[in-house]
Amino acid sequence: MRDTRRTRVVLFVLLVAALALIALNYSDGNNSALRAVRNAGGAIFGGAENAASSVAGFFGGGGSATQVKGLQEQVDKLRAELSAEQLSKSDYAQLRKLLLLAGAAQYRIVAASVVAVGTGYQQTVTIDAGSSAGIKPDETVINGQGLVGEVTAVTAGTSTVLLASDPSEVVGVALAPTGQLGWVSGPGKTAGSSGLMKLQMLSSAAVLKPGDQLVTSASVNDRPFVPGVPVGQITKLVVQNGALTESAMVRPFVDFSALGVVGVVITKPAHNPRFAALPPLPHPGPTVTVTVAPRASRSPTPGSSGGTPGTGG
Amino acid sequence: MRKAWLGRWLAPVLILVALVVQLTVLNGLRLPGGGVPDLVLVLVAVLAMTEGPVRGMIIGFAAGLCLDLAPPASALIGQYALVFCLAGWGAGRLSGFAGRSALRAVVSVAVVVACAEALAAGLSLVLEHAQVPTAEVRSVLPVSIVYDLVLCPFVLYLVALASALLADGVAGGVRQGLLVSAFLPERATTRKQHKRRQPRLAEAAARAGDGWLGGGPGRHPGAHPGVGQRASTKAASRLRPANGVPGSASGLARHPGRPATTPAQFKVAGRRRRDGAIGSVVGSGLGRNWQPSRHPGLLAGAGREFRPRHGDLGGSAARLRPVARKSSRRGRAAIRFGAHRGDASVGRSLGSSWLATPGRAPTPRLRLAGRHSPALGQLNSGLTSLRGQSAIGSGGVPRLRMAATRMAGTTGRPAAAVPRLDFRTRQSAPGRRNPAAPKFRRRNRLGPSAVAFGLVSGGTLDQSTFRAARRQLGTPRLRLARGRRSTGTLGTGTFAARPGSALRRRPLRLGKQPRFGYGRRSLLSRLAATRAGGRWLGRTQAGRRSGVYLLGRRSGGQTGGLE
Repeated sequence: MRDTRRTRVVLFVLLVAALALIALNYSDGNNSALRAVRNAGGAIFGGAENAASSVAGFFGGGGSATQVKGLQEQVDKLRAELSAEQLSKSDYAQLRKLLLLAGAAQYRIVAASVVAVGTGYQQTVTIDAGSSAGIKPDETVINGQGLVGEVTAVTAGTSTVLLASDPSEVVGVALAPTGQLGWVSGPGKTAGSSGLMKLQMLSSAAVLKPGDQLVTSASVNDRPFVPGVPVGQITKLVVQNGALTESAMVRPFVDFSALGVVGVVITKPAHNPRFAALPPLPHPGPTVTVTVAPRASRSPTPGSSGGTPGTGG
Repeated sequence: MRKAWLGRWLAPVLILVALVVQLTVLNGLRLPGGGVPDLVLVLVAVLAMTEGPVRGMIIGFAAGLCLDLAPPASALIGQYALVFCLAGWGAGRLSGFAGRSALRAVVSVAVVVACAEALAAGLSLVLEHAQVPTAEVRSVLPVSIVYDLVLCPFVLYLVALASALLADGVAGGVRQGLLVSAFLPERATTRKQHKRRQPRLAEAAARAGDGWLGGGPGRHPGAHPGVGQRASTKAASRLRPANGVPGSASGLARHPGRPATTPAQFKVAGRRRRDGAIGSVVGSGLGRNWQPSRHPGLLAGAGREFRPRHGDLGGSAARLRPVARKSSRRGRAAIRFGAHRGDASVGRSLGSSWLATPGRAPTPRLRLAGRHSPALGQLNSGLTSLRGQSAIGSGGVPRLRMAATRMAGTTGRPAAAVPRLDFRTRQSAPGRRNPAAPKFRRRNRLGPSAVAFGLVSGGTLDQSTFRAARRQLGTPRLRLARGRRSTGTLGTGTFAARPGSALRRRPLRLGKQPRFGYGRRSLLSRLAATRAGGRWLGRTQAGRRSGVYLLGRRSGGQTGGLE
C-alpha cells in the first residue's frame, strides 16, 4: 500500500508544524506568543479539568476522616477561606492540617485543589488557582504534611506544580535537630515500589540516624523554597564506600500520589521558622534510653532506638 | 445517513473526553510500576484505524496539541502533536492490514501505540534531557506500554460500539456483533431466521468481523481480498445460490432432466458489505439480464435474476456438448477452496451450473488444496482438466501461462518471485494481445482464490462473450456506493468504466454517492468510510474496453488501467 499524494502532503504539513512548534519552544521558552497560547490552553483545559475533577472526587482517599470529630466549629471559617462551595470531609481534614502547618510556620498561603496530573515523564500537577489568586512561578507548594513542590508555570486560573518527587527536583534541606545542610532528590515515577527520596549531606561531619526529620532550608530569596517546610524522615542510611558525606533514604511526609488540597506560599515568613512546623516526635523516649544505657550495650541495637520514632512518625 | 452529523463529531468529542479523563483520573492512578495508560494515544490510534491515515493524522495532531497545551503540560508544545500525528498516520495505514479482523485490529493498534510510546519517550529524552532522567524512562516506559496494550481492546470495542450505535442504533450494534442480540427487537430476529434457511452463508452476516474496524472491505460488492489473498477465505463466500437455483439442493430436484432453463439466481447478500466481489465479476460476464449501468451485484442484491449465457462459466450448459472422457463420472463438480463449506464462492458457482447440466457427462472434480496455496502441479492439473473438457465457451479455452522463472519458489529472487498469470484465448495471435482479451497479472503470492479467479476469468472472458457483451450492452458502468477517489474501489473516480474518465480521479463526496442495492451502510464502515478497504478491491481492468473488472491487489489508485 502506498500513501496517496494527499496523505503525504498532509503528513508533511503536520510534521513540519509540530517540529516548528517544538523548535520555537525549545529555543525560546518564554516566547510571548507561545505563552499566550499556553495561557489560552490553560484557560480552556483548566476549566474542563476543574469541572471534571469536581464531578469525580478522584483523590478521595487522601485524608483521614476520623480526625474530623470535634472540629466542627472551624468548618465555616475554613470553608470561607477556600471559597469552595462544598468541602468533602477529606478535603476538610486536609485543609485543616494545611492551615495548622501554615500557622505554625507563619506562612501566608493560597489554598487550592489539585485538578489534573500531567502526562509524560515529569511529575507535574495542575492546581486550580493561578495568577489571579496571586500565585507566581517559583513559589513553594505545601500541604498539611509538608513539602509538595514548586510552582513552575502560572496561567490566570491554574498553576502547574512540579512535585518534589520528580527526579529532577532537588530540594535543599536542613536536618532537624542539628541544622546540618544537605539536599534531597525525588524518587521519580517508580515511586510505586519505594517512593523514597535520596538525601545527600553537604558536610562530612554530619551524622545521620534513622528517624531524623528534615525541613527545607532557605533558597536564595526564598524561591523556590521557603525555609522550614517539613520534607521527610530518614528511614535508612545508605552506605557508600569511599563517599565523603553521608547519604540516606528519606520517606517524604507527603503522599505524592494522593494530593488533594494544597497551599501555595505566597508570602515568605518574616523569620525562619526553623523546625516549628515539624510534626512532634511521638516518643521523646530515646533520650531517656541514651542517658540510661551505656554505650557498649546500646551499640548492638542501634535500630531499635531509632525505629520507634520512625514508625510513630 | 441518519445522524450523520453525530458521526462527524464522534472523534473530537471522544478525544476531548479522553483528554480530560486522562489528565484528571488516569494520570493520578497509583499503578504498580509507576506508569499509567495513555488513553489519548490509544484512542488516537483506534480512531485512525477507522478513519484512515489522513484523518488519523489530523486527529492525532489535534489531540497531541491539546495534550501539549492542557495545563500540567511540562513538555514542549508540539512534542505530543508530533508523536500522535505519526501514530495516527501509522494506524491509518495499518487499518488495511487489520481488515475486518478484530484480532488484527488489536494487534495493529498495539503496535502503533507501543511505537508511539517509545517515540514519545525518546523525544522527551532528547528535548528535555535536563528534566527526564534516562533511568526513569527505562523503568517507566515498558510499564506504560503494557498498560496501553491492556487498554487497547476495550477502547477499540467502545469506539466500534459508539460508532455503530450512532450510525444505526441498537440494531447496528447487533449486526456488527458488538452487542448481544438480546438487545434487538423483533425485526432483526425474524430476518435472521429467514437467513437461516438459506444455504450456508446466512450466519456470516452477524459475525463480528463484518464491518469491523477498517471493515470497509466488506462494504462494497467486489470489496474482497485481492486475487491471491489467501487468508480470510471466509470473506470469499458471499456468492450464494439461492433456493431453486442450480447448485442448491432444491434446484437439483426441480429440474431433473433438462438443462437449466431456470434463470440462475445469484444472490449477493445485500447486507453483507463485503460480498459480491467475485460474484459481480462472474455475473457481469454472465448475465443476460445484465444491463449497462447496473452492477450485477446490485441486481443480485435486489433479488433480480439474470441468467448465465451459454458458454459462460457458471452459465447454462445448453449448447455444451458432452465430451467423452475415460473416467466419465457423473457427479457434481466442485472446486473447493478452503476448509469451510461456505467458502469458495467461485467453486460453488461453477458447480452450480455444471450440476444443472445433466446432459453433460464428464464433470471433472477439481479440487484444490484447502488452505494452502496450490502447488503448481495442482494448478496445472486443474487447468488441464478444464481445457480437456472444453466446457467453457466455444473458443475460450484458457491457457494458463505461468512463466516458470517467475514462480515463487523456483527461483530465489525475491523481485522475480512474482507469479504471473497470463490468460489468453486461443485465437489470439502469439505475439499480439487481443485488446479485448483479458490479461491478468498479479504480483503477489499465489493463493487459492487467485487460481479460482483465474479459472473463472478464463472461462468468462472468452471472445464471444465479450464481443456479444460489448455489442449488446455497451460499456458497463460499475459504480458502487461511496467510492473514494483513490481507494481503488470499483466504480470510484479513478476507476470509472466510462472511457473518457478512466484515468480521471475525482474525489467524490461521501454523502452523494449512490448506493445500489445495499440497504444500509455498515455501521463501522461509516467511520471507516474513507478507507473502505477499496484497496483490496479489484481495480485491475481486464482490457480497458472489455468492461470487465477483475480483482487485483494493486492499490493506491494511481493508474486506472490495465496492469
